Formats: sequence, C-alpha cells, structure tokens
Amino acid sequence: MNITAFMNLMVILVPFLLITAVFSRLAVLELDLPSPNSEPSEEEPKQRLTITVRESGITVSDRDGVIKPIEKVAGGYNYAALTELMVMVKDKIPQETSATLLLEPQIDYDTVIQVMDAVRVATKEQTGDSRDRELFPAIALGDAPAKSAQEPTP
Amino acid sequence: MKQTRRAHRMEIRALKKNRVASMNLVSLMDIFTILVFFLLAQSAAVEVLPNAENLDLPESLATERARETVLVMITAKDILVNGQAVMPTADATDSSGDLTALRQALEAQAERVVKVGDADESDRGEITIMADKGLPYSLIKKVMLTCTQAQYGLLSFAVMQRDQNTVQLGGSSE
Repeated sequence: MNITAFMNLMVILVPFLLITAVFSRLAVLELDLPSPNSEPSEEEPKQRLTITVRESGITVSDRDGVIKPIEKVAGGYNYAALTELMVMVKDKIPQETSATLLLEPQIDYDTVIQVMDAVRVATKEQTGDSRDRELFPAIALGDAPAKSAQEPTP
Repeated sequence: MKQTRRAHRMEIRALKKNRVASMNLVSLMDIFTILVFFLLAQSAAVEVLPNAENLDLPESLATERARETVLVMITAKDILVNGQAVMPTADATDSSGDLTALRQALEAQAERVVKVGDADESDRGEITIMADKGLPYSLIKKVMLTCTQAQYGLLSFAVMQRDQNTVQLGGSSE
C-alpha cells in the first residue's frame, strides 16, 4: 500500500489548517436601534428603562424617575452592582426586554460594551441559578442629556 | 573462497540497505485524518472576521456568531469599510455631523449587495462595527449615525468572546 502521497497531503494540510484556525472567538452584539426612517421621538427614553453612563458613575432610571445611582468603585464602574440592580428591575417587570443606554461623549467604547453586557445578561455565577439569566437584551444607544437637565425628575 | 564470502556479505548488506524501512504509520495517519477533519469542520463553522493587528476589541459575554455583513472597522488611525481605508480617524473625530467619505463608501457597498425579493428600500442590510476599545463613544456614535443615514438598518458590534469563569473572577474582585 503506497501511502506516501496521502502522507504528503496530510503534512501540508495540517499545518495550513492549524495556522488559519481561529482560536479567538469573535461574537457580535446586536443593537436595537429605531429604523432610519422613523421619526425620533423625544418621549421614548422616558418610557423605557434608562441607564445613563457618565464620567462620575452610572444612573439607572425608568419612567418614574431615578431608581438608583451606582457610584464608581476603585477599579472603574461597578458592573456587578449594575447587574444586581438589573436583576431586581427584571423581577419587577419580567415582560420588559428593552433598555436604553445614554452615554456621555467621552465614555470609551470598552465601557459601552461592558455596560451593555451588564444590562443584557446576568451570568449564572451572579444569579446563583444553574443557567444564565437574560435581562434586557434589546439595547438602544443614545446621548446622555446635559447634567443640569437630568437633575429635576418628573 | 574468501572473496566470494566477502561478496556474499556485501550482497546481504546491500539488500538490507535497499529494503524499505517499515514504519508503523497507521496511528499517525489516524491522528492526521481526525485532525484534518476537525480543523476543516471548525474553519467551516466560524465566520472569519479579518483580524487587524492594531485593533483591540473589547471582551464580552455575547455568544452570537458573526455573520457575513458589511464590515466597518475603526482603528486608532483609519476607518475602513470591508478592508479598504476610507478616511483617517482623526478627521472623523474632528468633524461634526455625519462622515461624508464613510457614507459614500457604504452607499457604494450597498450597490453591490443583491437585493432578495422586494426588500424594503429603507433597509440595505446589516453592518458589523469593529472598533478599538479605547475609542470614545462620540466617535462610535458618529459612525453609527452615518451607517443609519446610509440606510443600513441593523448594526452590531464585533466583540471578543470571553470565558465566563474569568468574568466571575474579574467581576467579583473588590
């Protein structure tokens, strides 16, 4: 049985496939943005669960006003506390799946993704359940209102 | 007699030399075959996004796989559409409003996409945004705004998938 040709093929194929194999897995986070043609309404952010990310910290509010501000901790934003709060909110309104993220312009992209993660899903380690818990997967992004405008709550 | 004995020895040695070394290759071939099929299956399953060396993607718990879409890359230097640089990032940071060069590039991309059926005119498809994690939100917002103005309905962020165990360690640390 002459297997030399087959061996040659394998010796070439294996290193080639090993090199091209993707070991860092890429994933995508989908955004829930209004369609391009729909009129932007000023009312909408007030209707929904809103997470405002500022340099100073994170504020969570819904239509009734501010639920809870989350202060920064030494290492940056307190994502664990944000997720905890999101679990509490989700318990109150289980049917809600959407949230709005309002950000100050100088917030960096990494923070945006981490906050989205904290709002989107609670890991099984955080909830103590046997599986991950989905919180508010449909996230829209927007600009944070100026600080002064945010103070009076309706 | 002596000579013939030597000739006989040489003959035997020559025979030994010429004989093909019999190696047991069966297990090696088994390993190679399994490895090749595994790697082929893996490379077929994963949608490969180009890996730019000067692009540091943020990590996330997202598990959704990347799809074949128009790809907008924002590195610290340039903004690229499907691998072609369209404008320097510094220009985008400075500009106010939408980014004309990027919009034109995206509209050119949209002409290439074959529409299936009578797809809605307002929706040209999906865009995946790959951005460096150090960039400010104001820049990402401008790019997102431009994508929306170029009539792309669905935006996604490309992220690096992360192990949950490392999250727990990082998240629970005080």
